Amino acid sequence: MLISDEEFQQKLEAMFEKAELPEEDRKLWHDRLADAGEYIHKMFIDVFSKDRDLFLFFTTNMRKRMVAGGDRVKLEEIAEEERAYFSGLMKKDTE
Amino acid sequence: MLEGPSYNSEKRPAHGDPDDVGLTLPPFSGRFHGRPVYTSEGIPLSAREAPRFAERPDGTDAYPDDEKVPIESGLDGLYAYIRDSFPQDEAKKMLLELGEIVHTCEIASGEVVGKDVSGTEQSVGEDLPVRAADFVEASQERLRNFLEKHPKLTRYFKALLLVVSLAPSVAAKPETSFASDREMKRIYDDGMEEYGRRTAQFGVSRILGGQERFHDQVLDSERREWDLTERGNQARRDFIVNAYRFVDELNALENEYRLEFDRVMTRPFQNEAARSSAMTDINRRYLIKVIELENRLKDLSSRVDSITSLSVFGPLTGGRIRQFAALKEKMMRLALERSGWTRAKLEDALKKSGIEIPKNALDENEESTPVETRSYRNRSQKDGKAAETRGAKKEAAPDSDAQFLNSLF
Repeated sequence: MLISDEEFQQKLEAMFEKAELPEEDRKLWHDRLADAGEYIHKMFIDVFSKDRDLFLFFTTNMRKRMVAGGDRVKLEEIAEEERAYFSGLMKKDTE
Repeated sequence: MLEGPSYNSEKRPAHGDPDDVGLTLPPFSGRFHGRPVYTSEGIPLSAREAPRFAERPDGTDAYPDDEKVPIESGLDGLYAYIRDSFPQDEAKKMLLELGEIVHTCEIASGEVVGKDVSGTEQSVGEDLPVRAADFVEASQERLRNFLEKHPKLTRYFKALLLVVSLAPSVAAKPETSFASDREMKRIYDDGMEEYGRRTAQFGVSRILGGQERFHDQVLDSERREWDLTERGNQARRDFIVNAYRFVDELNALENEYRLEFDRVMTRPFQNEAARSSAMTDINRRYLIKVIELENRLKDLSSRVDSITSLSVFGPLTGGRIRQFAALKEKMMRLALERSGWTRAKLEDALKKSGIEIPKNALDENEESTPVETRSYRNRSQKDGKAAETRGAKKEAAPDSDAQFLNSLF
């Protein structure tokens, strides 16, 4: 079952509120998700709505990706952060 | 009723027991339906380090020295976690299974194409869309199974893939015509409602199979041509969506044509001349319709680099384009042979209908036929001949028809 646009917008706003996301980051997500389609919308809500930390991490991650563009050095820095976050996440889960 | 690629849950890839999608699956054989599968670089998949994220034959870790490590953090992290967190035997099975899922998704998403032993790309066959659907279905089932077993591994993995697929820096390169997953989704959302459920499943495969390519594209300097890419993708998107619709329209047209033809064949007429006249009328009418349809498709294709470039969108779309070409040839041949028109008369009829006259459409498209459709020509010509034979038996067409046609062109 996919998600209607109305339902998606409601849930997205609720996520933004819960995460206390700044306006510029909300706009960033709105822009990126505008044409993504119902399937991606549903996946987005499923993945992030229950995990505020993950959402905040990837909000920052997305912003950095946009700034990095095709800069390989910056992208590698982003990837390094991803690995570190992932390791921490797994460590937390296994504790 | 639209006739798309069948999606038969009974059909499964040759490897693996469909009822056993767990950790007991054998490693990917590198063969698909008995044929060896090659990577886009022409390397046999079976010869590829399989799984390339596992240890090398000498027991050393294959990943640390891999130059792609820094940009493959998603899968790399997942693989590393599995490797480090489970007993060796279990980890190996999990890695093999995950590797096979990714390979399967690569194939389903068109990343891997079939090539013969000489390295020449094979014609994939009109039935490939069905096979691709099988792949997608199988990979979905196995992916679901895998994720259910290891839910804590998937949260980060999914989130990363989502962000990567949404990031603006993953623009498609015009040369490779590889649309981002976001755009693939839009293609489907806009134009493929009738394939809804399968579409959603295909989307997941695209995300999985395409992740490495997303990263590669991030690092590609031509990614900077964002506007150009966007325009190119828009044109390709239009073309693909319409190509799918055109095939459906052509299918509907063919069914309609056959119904009308059968009706004329079975309806009583005052004499055979009247029946023949009615049949000719039908043939002429449908000939014009087919040409009109082809013109619409060509008009759209002129906005993209070439029809052949569309094959990179994957076998599903490539198959549709080929299906259109084969159907069109069959329809045109049937209708033309039975229309009793000279070329001049046909051109006149097209003009009167306001339809542009395709330069080569009436002489088998030798020059204008896309390269990728040529492998189907023999088949479609055979189809045409078979249909002609059937038609001849059924219709008892005047003997002069064939001579007349030959004399035209």
